[in-house]
Amino acid sequence: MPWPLGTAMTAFDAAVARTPTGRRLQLAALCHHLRARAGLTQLDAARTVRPGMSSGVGQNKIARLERGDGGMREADLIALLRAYGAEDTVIELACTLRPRYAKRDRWGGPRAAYDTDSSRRYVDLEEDAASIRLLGSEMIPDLLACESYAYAALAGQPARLRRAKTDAILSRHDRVLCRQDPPEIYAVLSESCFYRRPPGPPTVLEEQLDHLTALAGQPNITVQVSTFGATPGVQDALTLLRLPHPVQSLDDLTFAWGRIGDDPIPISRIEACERLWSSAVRTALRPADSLRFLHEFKEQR
Amino acid sequence: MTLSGEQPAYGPRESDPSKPSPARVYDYILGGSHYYPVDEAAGNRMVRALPLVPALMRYNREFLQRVVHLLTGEYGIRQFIDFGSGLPTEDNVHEVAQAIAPETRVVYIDYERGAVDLGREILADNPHATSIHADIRQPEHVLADPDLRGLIDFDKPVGLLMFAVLHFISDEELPMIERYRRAVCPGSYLVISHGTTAQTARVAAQQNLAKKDYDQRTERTWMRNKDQIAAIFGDAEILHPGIVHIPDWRPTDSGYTPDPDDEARQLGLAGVGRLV
Repeated sequence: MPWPLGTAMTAFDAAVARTPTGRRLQLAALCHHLRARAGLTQLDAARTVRPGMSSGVGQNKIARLERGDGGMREADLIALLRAYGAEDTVIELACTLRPRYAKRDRWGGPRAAYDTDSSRRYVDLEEDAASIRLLGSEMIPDLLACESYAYAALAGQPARLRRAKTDAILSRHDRVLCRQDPPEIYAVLSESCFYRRPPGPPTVLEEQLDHLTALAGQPNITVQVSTFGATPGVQDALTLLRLPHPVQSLDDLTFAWGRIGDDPIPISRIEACERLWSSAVRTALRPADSLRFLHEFKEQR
Repeated sequence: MTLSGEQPAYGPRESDPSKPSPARVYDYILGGSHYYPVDEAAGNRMVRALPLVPALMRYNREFLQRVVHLLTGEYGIRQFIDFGSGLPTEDNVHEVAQAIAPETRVVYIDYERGAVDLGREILADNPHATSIHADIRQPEHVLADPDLRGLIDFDKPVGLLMFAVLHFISDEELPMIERYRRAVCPGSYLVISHGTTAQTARVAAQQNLAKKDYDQRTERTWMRNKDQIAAIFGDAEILHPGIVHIPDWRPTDSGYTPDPDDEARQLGLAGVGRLV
């Protein structure tokens, strides 16, 4: 048995994601796992569940379910999982994860300020992540930005939108950084993040340096600076989000983004992202030296 | 490999591309190029659980360089045996030592065929260094190896290097290290870096996750504390500053201060002993 059934429900409860996006992707991972465990192809599975229906249509539905972008009626989901030989507790878990809204989840909270599906997904997964790894190449990542910096960085946007987006960033801080049981956050920031001065009053960067120093003092947040001397250093912005698998004994789920608003980085390229992460951590200043860097940078100004 | 295709529990083994190996996972995390997809996946799982692991591996590699530099440059050691060397790629023992004293003899030992083959390729033109296929847990085999005997003179001091290898040895097997300590003459050195349990509960929990995965899918490990590591040195005189977190061992950067919040630092200990 791949997981201990005796403790199943409590273990499952703990791993259920907070947001609809997180739950949908957990359901996707769960369905994929159960089908693989049963040794069935998507086509096999479709034929088993709906012998009468065109198997291509069924297969497509299963494919979408496993990609996390398609719902399924509860009765169909249960029939599918029974065909995979899933235990009752697992089926119950799957039904808990199943999206309540057939087409599109309702977009509330900070994600309402983002206008693309991809950025909304990002905001949700950021809220669900057990660990967040950030690479910053030019700009301080939103999660680590102070209010004045976030606002300054949105220069060029219409005033009302700019305010709404700044508020959305602050709301993300509340949900991610300030909640009980916050995620582990690791950031490697290129030195360029500090040389690139955001538009606005000169105090913005100083406030940002203080803010970053304060954040780095929290036990769950580690900040490293990658200096210009580091090779390969940090060339691009990258975020790696780790969500627990709904079945906790299985490997966690990892999602990668470039910049917010970009499409998520496809799973096939996540390994490459992991290599970027490892080399960034390996070549950046140690955390203590990074804090010293921030302090000296501020003093020199 | 046995006829049934299973690897024996002991002894040198063939490279198996279907199972991650410590040497290749280490190479992957250090940014090398000699690993299989399974090693990459194992490395990624470890880094996901413990995102600062690449920094730990760098600390370990920097410790290697500091200590080999010291033993060759200051203490006149001209022979090294590097146990569980992994893939002897950039900035390894022979490069550091032979840059100071070109005649320095270096023998790399690893139980994984691929690591040894690559080592021999890299060292093909190096008359004073080689790589041998053996398991540290079999000291009689290792010490009788003709290639090792050809390079190492046991009447002269030897640097026994055990970087990040003894945490793969169980408590029951560990006493065999004494066999190596007794094989070399007084004035030799024993160098150890070793995985340890993180001090803060939060990091220890993350470490535990990573360890579980690594133990099950790559190789079983035993984390040890300072006292347990001190015991491995037996009656050797442990050099200043004792057994400390890896980057704290005689840092070359004059501005270095130990950072209790550095998670990578918490995960490893190091020490050097002079054998008497």
